[in-house]
Amino acid sequence: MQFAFYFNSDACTGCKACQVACKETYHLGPDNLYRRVYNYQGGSWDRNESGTYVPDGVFGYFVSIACNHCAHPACVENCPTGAMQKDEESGVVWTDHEVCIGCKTCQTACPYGAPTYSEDDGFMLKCDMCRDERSLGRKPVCVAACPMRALDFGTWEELTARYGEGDVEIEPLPRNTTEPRLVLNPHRKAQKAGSGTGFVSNLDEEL
Amino acid sequence: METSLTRRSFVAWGAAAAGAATLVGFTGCSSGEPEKSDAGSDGDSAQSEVVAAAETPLVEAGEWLSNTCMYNCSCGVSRCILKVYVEDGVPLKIRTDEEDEDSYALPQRRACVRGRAQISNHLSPARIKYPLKRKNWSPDNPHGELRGKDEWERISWDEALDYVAAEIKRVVDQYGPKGIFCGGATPSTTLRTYDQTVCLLDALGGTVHAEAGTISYGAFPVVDTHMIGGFGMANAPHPLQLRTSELHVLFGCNWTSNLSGNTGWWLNQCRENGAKVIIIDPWLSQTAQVVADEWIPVLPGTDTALMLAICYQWIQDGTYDQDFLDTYTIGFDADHMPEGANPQDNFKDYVLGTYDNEPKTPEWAEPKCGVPAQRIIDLATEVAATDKVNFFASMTSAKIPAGEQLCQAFYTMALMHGGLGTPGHYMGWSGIRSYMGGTVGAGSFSSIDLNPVNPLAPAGSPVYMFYPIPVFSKLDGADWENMEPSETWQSILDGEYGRDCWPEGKHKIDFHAMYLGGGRNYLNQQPNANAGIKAIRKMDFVWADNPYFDPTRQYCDILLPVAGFWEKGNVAYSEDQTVTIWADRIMEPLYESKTEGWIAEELAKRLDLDPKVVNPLTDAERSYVTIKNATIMDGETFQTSPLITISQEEAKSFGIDGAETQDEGRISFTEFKEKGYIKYPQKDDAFVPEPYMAFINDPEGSPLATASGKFEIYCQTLAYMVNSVGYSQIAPIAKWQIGDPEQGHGTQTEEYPLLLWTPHTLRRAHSVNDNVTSLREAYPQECFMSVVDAEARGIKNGDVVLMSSPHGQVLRPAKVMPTLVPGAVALQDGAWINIDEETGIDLGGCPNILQAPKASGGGSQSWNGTLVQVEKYTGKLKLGPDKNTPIVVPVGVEE
Repeated sequence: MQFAFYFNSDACTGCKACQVACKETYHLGPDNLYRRVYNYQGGSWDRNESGTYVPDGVFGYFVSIACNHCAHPACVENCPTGAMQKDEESGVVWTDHEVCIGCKTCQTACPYGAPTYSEDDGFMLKCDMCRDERSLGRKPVCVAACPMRALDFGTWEELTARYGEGDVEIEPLPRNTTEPRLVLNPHRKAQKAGSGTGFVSNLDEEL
Repeated sequence: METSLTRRSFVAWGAAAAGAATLVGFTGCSSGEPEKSDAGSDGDSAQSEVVAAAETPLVEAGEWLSNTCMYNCSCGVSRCILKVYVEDGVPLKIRTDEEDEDSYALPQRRACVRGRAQISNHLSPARIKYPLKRKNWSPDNPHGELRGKDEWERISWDEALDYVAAEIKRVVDQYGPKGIFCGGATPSTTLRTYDQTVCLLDALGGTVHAEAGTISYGAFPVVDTHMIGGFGMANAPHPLQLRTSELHVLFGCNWTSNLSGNTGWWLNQCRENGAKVIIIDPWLSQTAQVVADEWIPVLPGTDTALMLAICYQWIQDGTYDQDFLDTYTIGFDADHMPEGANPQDNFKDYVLGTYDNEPKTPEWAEPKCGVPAQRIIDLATEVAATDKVNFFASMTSAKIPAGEQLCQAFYTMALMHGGLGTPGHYMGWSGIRSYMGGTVGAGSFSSIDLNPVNPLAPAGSPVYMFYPIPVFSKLDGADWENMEPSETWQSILDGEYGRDCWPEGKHKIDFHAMYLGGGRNYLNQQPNANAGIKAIRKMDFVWADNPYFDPTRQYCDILLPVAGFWEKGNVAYSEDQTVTIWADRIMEPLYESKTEGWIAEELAKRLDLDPKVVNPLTDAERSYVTIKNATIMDGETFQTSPLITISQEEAKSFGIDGAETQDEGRISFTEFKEKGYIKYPQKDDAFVPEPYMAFINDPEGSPLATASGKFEIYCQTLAYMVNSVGYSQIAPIAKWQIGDPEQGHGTQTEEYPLLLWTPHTLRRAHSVNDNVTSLREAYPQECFMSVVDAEARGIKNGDVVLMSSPHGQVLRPAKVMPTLVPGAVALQDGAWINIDEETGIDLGGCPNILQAPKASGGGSQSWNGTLVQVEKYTGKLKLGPDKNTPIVVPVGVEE
């Protein structure tokens, strides 16, 4: 079995209910996030004869991203201690805090920057798809929090059957090198990964 | 002067206050324990989708309680369900409505980002923990100049109450009730804005409020009263009706941020099902990024010009509904003017420029609103060619000088398109109206009939929000006082308010004390806050009750800690009337906090007042009537009946002797409490009466409540009422004008060339929640500006910028965006003021530091179009990320 997230960028308003519901549930410190929301924007303005400005190709859309619990997780492959593991039963990628030395190699290796280092604890933290909540039959907190119903959770098989394979190669996400188990429905204005047609408008402190 | 608490100590002190709590479960499921392969799931089919067989079930030793957010986040159009997990009296995590049916007609009530952060809000270090006295304040020497920068000392409840009672008595004896300014709300029926100290002050002879104006609604209420004969926000479409429109034309309306709840989700489903959405807004808002098929950028405060040009184009093309106008309206053309009016003053001839030689063409509008003429023509053509159009204006669009003219233009445009009263045709503002179908509502928390009234607010004086300007003829010389909120602070400094044209001229005021509790963050939330600080510092005595040490409370002398909503609870609560929520008591009052009722009763005892007069019901009685008087209105028959069945035993549980029971409700009290809420069972195919249907079907028999009985495109009573108050001057028809010589597009100067507008943010509900770190991280308080304006100033995304207006300066990081119209900047409302005393610069980024004190029209505020400048900051002040900035706590108080 492989659990996965579904994300519909075409319905995401960037409200960050997912990010904050998660963060509050796990009482994460001010510099730790398991899920973050990017705003990708682009376009320019032309001045016309009357002195006003007219938009040219202006667009904006949101991408909410957590750990993608990849089929080939770079974090696991690069972990020097074996603390980072992929659970065979569920496909969930998780950190054994007893073993983790907090070297941050996983964070650097992950194309999505998913693992986050806890200064307080001295080890890496990351999304485990709300293992405890799921053990009581509940969906992951972020999924159930989404006011736009833009997130879903299930097995990779279920989700791809329901939504198709989607496309994870949209800006500002990287090219697919790890087989992320994320079914992403791109926003109708989404830009191809690597196209560089816009930029992430979030301030650094948001990410 | 600031103290930082770590996340662990938040909970530690919260836990300590709640008594002997363990922190089991606090670290949640990120414990890093291996997923044991020998433990299976319990095989429950509901769990099979989310649980791998090997995962160990979590043990929850605590209980799940029910509550909500009781903040003014949505203008009454939503209310969300919070499920709070509590262990040993400590709230540890929140879930929401996620298991119920989730359909368009009966959606889940999922909490927004703010609801999800409520544990951090309630347990925040910003809580006032004990009664406090400002160190250098004494009755004999108040040292008012130190307000906002003095140290504090912890005092006992008795000391605090004695001080407050003595000061109230002294000021009332010496100066009468008009010596006290009340920044709190007039008591209403909801727990949210009910503070018995205001009742106490009313029982003592009243105080002067500043509620002769609307902070929220812009110019709409007065226009609605006279032009369309009723409150337009109540005639917005129901969600079931929203989906009958083919085209939605929204002016502003960042619904997914402003209203939360399901409003934006409903509109997005309309789009997904084939309706088109056009959003006209200075920025490509969060909502527009998802919901808009087309975005038309417009300069803030200039929509009136755009609307008039649309009307012009329709007149030129003959693509408007002349029959509708002839039957249901007056004033559109010379043939349909009211008696006594000059026929030349009709709307059509104004738009065509027949007499002023200035046709309101798209070319005329372009330099005013910034929308190219051809774009206006295309928009007008598309709207005209579409039958069923939902016209929707945000309240913000009408918060401009002489904003009535925008409302008039908006309604005139919608009336020209015609079709109102039939499915798909709407003209609304505020938000879509679930409550126009069937409803479920809690009983009132406070009975208006039992509360003392403010003798200084007699009948005919302004009615807060709904008719905010004085009706002089009704007042008939009565002794009344009620200030206009935008100008409050400047009025206090000037010693007078109003206008010379009022029957008795301007009203003199002379305050010596201020009550700044009453459920409001008054200093933070009114324009011209720097003048507010000056005014407050002139007082002999300033006190407040509140749960939070927010900016208003930081400038007081005595602070009384109030229990938060979660610490009171035990009430049924409803806001949008389609769900009634049972609010459990989540935890006991933290530290030494008390309820407002207790405080007022204690003060009453010290002032020789009957506590029963200032607080007419006990907490148990209030709790009981919210249940007992809860009703359901059937959406088909419009019959109202009791919502909740109450047995003798259940009634007894409220501790009231001989409480009446009732047996015909839809749900027993015990079931209600257990479930935590009851929703109106809205059916997908239900009939909801179309707005204005009765009038449209029978214009003679069911006239509108306007002077003519029709929609008044030419509205004499409106112009008369607004002009008689004298804040601004308007015409009886919609006209484009520069409503104020120092505000809005057309008045920019070299010194202040940019137009400020102040959208809401999901970081706060107005100013509530600004103390929450996770929300500060999610939404930094930013100066949103266009790539064009930023480039001209050498400003890059993230640079610290100084925003200046004639009224103050704030320091903020710039967010430089291609998705915002050049010439405008945005600063989101409600950020907590944090003045650097040396420079006078506000480090918190509160837009009211910049806002001008300008009353407009019918007592509405002209927030939008304030002139500002933005420059890259090169001074010595440092600005770290909001999330890492310590929450301000009282200095000098030992923990």
